[in-house]
Amino acid sequence: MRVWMLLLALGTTLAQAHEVHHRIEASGAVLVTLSYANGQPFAYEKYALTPAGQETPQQVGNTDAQGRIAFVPGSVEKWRLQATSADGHGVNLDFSAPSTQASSGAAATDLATPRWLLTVLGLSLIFGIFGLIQLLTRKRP
Amino acid sequence: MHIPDGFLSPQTYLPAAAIAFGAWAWAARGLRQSLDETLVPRLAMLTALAYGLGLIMLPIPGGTSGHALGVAMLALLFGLRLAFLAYSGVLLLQALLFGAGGLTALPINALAMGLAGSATALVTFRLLKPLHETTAVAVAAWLSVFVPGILVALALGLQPWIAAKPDGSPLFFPFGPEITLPAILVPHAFIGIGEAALTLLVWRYARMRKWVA
Repeated sequence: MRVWMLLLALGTTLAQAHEVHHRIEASGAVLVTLSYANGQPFAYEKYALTPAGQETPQQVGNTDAQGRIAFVPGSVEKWRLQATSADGHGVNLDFSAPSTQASSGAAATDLATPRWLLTVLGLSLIFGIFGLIQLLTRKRP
Repeated sequence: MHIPDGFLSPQTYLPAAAIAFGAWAWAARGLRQSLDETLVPRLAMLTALAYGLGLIMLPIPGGTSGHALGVAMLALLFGLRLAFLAYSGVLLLQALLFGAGGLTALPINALAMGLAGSATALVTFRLLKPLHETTAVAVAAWLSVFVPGILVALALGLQPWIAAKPDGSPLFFPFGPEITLPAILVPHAFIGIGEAALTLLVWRYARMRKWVA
């Protein structure tokens, strides 16, 4: 009987060694959202998050259905995000993780120039350059 | 189809840059003589159209998105050299303003879409024109999307072989050609249909206005 009890205790101990423990908590994570230019989420695509200056990624995986990546930066401020899809879309982005305490509960600020403004700027450059070419190639009467 | 920065190894983009600079120099040779007062506004308008087309992202089943190129209409109306130069300018603007395609990848993008796309369109059009002009324009436009698609897929898909860590893991783009070829070519086979329709519209308008012989 004692032998069986000993084996049972040993078996339980061994089984516990293979367990994966989990803890669920709400803590300050940084959320990166990737999307195509038309707003479509960059969903289910591979990514690697690496602290700046290091070669081994701290976090690898796939973006979620909304194209999101959540990670906890800890004390590391500078990060590199590489996200790729098989058809050649993706980003290779160096960024500073915002302080999770400072930004907690605050809406993210999008500092990017509006797309329509960039489109107009591009068109202006095209017509401006060709206008210059027109002036330069105009034959004098 | 625009390859971003960081996806290509220096072993790929440095030789590509050397080839591209040679091609740009060749295309720019005799440029002043080939431009006249009526051609420049038309070239400006269609370059602007190609620029705009590259920014309209169409959702494609499977979760990705794509856009038309507009390179076939440039090639058919203005020839290989002007089309290549104009489209390279479009790619440069898209990279600088929108991050659509990277600066290190610009030579590959320009060679694939601007040069190979234009050349494919012109050769196909000249081969098929004696048979049926409308078909020639449509097939030329479709191939002007599909052939660059093959080149871009190969440029990306060969990266794991070109540049890898000692343990064999890829340093740059991680997927091989068995993945990139279908991932790029299947959506672009559909995009090519839209490109063909658009090029045909522009071609017919150009014929109506007697811009082309």
